[in-house]
Amino acid sequence: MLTILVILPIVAASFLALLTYGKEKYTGPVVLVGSLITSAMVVYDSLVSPGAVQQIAWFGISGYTIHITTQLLPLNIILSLLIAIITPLIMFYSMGYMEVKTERPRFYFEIGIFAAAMLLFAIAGNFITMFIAWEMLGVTSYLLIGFWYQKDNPPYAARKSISTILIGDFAMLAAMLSVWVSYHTFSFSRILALPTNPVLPIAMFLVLVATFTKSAQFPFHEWLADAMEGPTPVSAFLHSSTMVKAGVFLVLVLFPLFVKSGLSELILAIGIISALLGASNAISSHHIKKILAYSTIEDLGLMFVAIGLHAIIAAVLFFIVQAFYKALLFMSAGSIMRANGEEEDIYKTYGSYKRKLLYIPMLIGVLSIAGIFPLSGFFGKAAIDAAALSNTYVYIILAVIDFATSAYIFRWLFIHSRREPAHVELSYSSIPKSMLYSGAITSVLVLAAAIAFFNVSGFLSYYAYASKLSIGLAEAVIESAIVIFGISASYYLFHVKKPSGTVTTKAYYVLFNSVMVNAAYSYIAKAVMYFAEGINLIEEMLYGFFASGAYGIIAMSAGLRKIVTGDANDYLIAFVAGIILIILIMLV
Amino acid sequence: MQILVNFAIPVLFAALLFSGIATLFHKNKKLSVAINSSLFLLILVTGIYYSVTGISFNSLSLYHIYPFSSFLLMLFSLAFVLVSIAAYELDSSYLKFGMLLPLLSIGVFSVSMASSLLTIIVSMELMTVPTILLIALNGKDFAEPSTKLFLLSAISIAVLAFAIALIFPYDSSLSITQAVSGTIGSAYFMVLSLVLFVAALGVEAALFPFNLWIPDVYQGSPSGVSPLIAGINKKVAFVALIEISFVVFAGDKSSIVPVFEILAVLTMFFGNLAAMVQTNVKRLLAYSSISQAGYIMVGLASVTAFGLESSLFQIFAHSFMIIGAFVIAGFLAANGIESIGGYSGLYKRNGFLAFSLTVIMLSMAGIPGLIGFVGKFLLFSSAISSGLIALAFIGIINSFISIYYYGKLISSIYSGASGKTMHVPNGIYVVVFIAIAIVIAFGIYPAPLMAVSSRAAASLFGII
Repeated sequence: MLTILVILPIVAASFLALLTYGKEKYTGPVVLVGSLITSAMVVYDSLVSPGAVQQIAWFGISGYTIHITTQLLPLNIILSLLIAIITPLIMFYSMGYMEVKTERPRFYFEIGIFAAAMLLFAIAGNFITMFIAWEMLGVTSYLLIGFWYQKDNPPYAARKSISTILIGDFAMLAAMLSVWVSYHTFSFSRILALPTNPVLPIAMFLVLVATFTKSAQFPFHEWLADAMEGPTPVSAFLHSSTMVKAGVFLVLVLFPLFVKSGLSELILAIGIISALLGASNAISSHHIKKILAYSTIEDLGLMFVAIGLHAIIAAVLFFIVQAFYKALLFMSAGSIMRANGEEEDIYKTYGSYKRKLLYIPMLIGVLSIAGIFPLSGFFGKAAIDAAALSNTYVYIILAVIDFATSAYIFRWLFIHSRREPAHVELSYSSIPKSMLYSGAITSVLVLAAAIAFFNVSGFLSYYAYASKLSIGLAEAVIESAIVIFGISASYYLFHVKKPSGTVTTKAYYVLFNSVMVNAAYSYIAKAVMYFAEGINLIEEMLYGFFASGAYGIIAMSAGLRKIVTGDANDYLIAFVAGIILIILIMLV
Repeated sequence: MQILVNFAIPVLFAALLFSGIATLFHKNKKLSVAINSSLFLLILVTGIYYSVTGISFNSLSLYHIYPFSSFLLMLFSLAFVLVSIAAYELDSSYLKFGMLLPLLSIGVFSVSMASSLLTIIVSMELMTVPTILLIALNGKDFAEPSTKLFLLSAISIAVLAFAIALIFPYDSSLSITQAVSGTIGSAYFMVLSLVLFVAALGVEAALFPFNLWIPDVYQGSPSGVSPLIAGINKKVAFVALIEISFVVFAGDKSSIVPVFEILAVLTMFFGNLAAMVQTNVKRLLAYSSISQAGYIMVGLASVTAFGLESSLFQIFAHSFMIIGAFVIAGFLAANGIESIGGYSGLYKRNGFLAFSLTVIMLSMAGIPGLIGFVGKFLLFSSAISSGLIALAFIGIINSFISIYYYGKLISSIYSGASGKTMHVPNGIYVVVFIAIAIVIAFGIYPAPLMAVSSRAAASLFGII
């Protein structure tokens, strides 16, 4: 079976969704069924034809043929299975989430195409196929982030995300051109097999820039927090298996090329900066979803750290486990917001412990992200820490990040599970069943994901550069100690002391508001803005130039129209004039 | 079987003729459109069969069937199906179409398969006279466009005959299966003959400055006829131009290049610049189709098999784009909407028409993922590969200019207040759907069409 056919059911279902205007109760089930068929096909393909590389000739031009290539190597299987598992859950969650009936077809169409684009990305075997999926991801994420376009903030957030992502698109195009010029092929497997080339470092640097924009790494990370303006299922999807994972995944697939180009140190450095930025922002934010978004930036940073340390298996393991717990936490956040009247400030949301079906899965997710043994998050974190053992500085930084992670995620939990004041009305009983059940199913997956630790090494043995995964007892103990220390600090500061959300002491401010980093960032941002203003000035001059040109063309157009007089005699004269003109051309 | 293969086309022509004449007697619109369309579909099937087998033979020593003509048989027969269904829906007195379309189509198909200059001139005549009648038979209001078309095509045929007369003496032959033995360097008669050929065919092919009649006639024609002239007649002139300049004048390719190049540049600029200030949609489409003729000339100017392949691709692409566009414009004109301003709010009145027109406009402007982009991409890369970099550059500039007026129309469709919901007859739905299906399908997956047009181009170059 052609691998590319797996995207067909979900695409068909998405278009069917557009036909359900007026019969909105069918929209959700239609897309859910489509995504389930797609998932079944993905599972079937990964069982039946692992390792398959398939080429379909798209079009050929002057001796070169452009192919649509798909591959099902272990990494592709891992990502497509992740998408296959999470997509139906998101669709199921959305069935309860999408209350506004008239918007359902549009929502399901956009999110369905988004899922299909990510699946195409997961199985892409050459740059062309990958770029098509890449662009579709960009466009659909723009539409989804700006879904509530009637409100003030979402269009702004969508514009911010698309502007950042366009930088990446541009870099990716430039990278593809350099790859084509030097290798005359777009196929991943061919390029990986060919010897290195002087152009390669430049091309790979450009690819890296592109992946940083998609994976929200420093200095392109800001769009991800703003992307929280989108509907919650979109956030859950965007942060778990799709979109932000695209960048990391591409780096994993092309990993040997980055090593050849000597870019590992850059990847490591950017990963560390992003993880620190993400952690410090997560600890200071008040926004229930933005905390999780900054946490995603941190998670992705950690994946890049692992890649920079050449610990591919650790990166992949974390890649897998992060998808589940992040999806779960976003689902829970959506439910809490629903019960609190769509309130987004954690200091104004209360009582999440009241609904056991919500609270217990959420607790599993929180324990997992903090890194408590034997939950899946523990293995992911510990694997990356173990990889950093050889490098003391990185290890210390990672320890700090681990501490911060457990602290901020329990802060998140403690604050919104407070008992509500008398004047606040909660409606935990009215949360739709589909939102709770999909969260519960995901929590089971979070528990099950720990199995990945035992299987991932063997599964990735296809890749020669994947070293073995090992976590020593000492590291595990240190890791757990740091996490428990973080939780206790969080318990003391945010549960015992009953914080109100207003920062009082200076130490508190410095420690939890990461003032240095943010200030530095704002200076950088200012410098960038000055630069941008300079560019803007040039652009305005160019615009003036082109505008005057355009007015000139329109004036010419008006003049040219007068040739067509409507008088047949003039046309005959033109005919004769034309003959004379051609004769002159021929004779000259 | 062999007989069926060899004589399928003449038999189908006879059937078409019979169907046309029978229409005079039974006077049943539905029957007539059904029979005509099914005959066109049979020709389409025959064309596909010829094209798939790559067959090459002479039929009745009149028609030369080879991949080039099979490609055109497919193109024109499918276009005729669309045109006849559209005419049935758009024209209340369909009977004149029922009678004249079969005659006209025989002319069109004959030019595609012509093996002699005489076939070309007679078939062009056979195509033009029914077209003039189709316009003129609508009454006094249509006297002006039909007279203009008559006058220009009369001159064109006369000049064509004169051009043939000038090269006849060299080999005492009218065949277009071999190159003429005289060369342009050796005789001024040859120069004159080539010039007259280009001028005569340039009238119908909409090359500047022989195309000034086009906007008047496209706009003034009845709604059922404009898709026919723009989608089929214009392309037939190109086919004749290709056959004559690439086969008969095969020895003089290098002297053809500057002529085609300058005509391409003038035609592109004339079409695009004049289209910018138009307010009537049919007239805008007329100018846009002039500019598309310029793009097709870019491919011909590179006088290589690749250039011809891209021109054939673009001829195919533009046929269906312009038929779709003129059918929509004609239907709306029948509902009293003619100006760009009148199109505002169309998306609320009929979403399907708005969407289709948008797709076609984007395709004509050359947006990736649609057939128009692939066509332009091929055309400009063929020009670049033949060293005509300036020409490719001018073509790209023209593409930019064209986005202005296509965009103006699109933005008009999606703005403004809503009006009454519009009822669209099924035939229009079918025609527009097929047109945009072709635009989207071959835009995403152009490989089959490129393979067929590449084989067609190679076979034409293989004759000599």
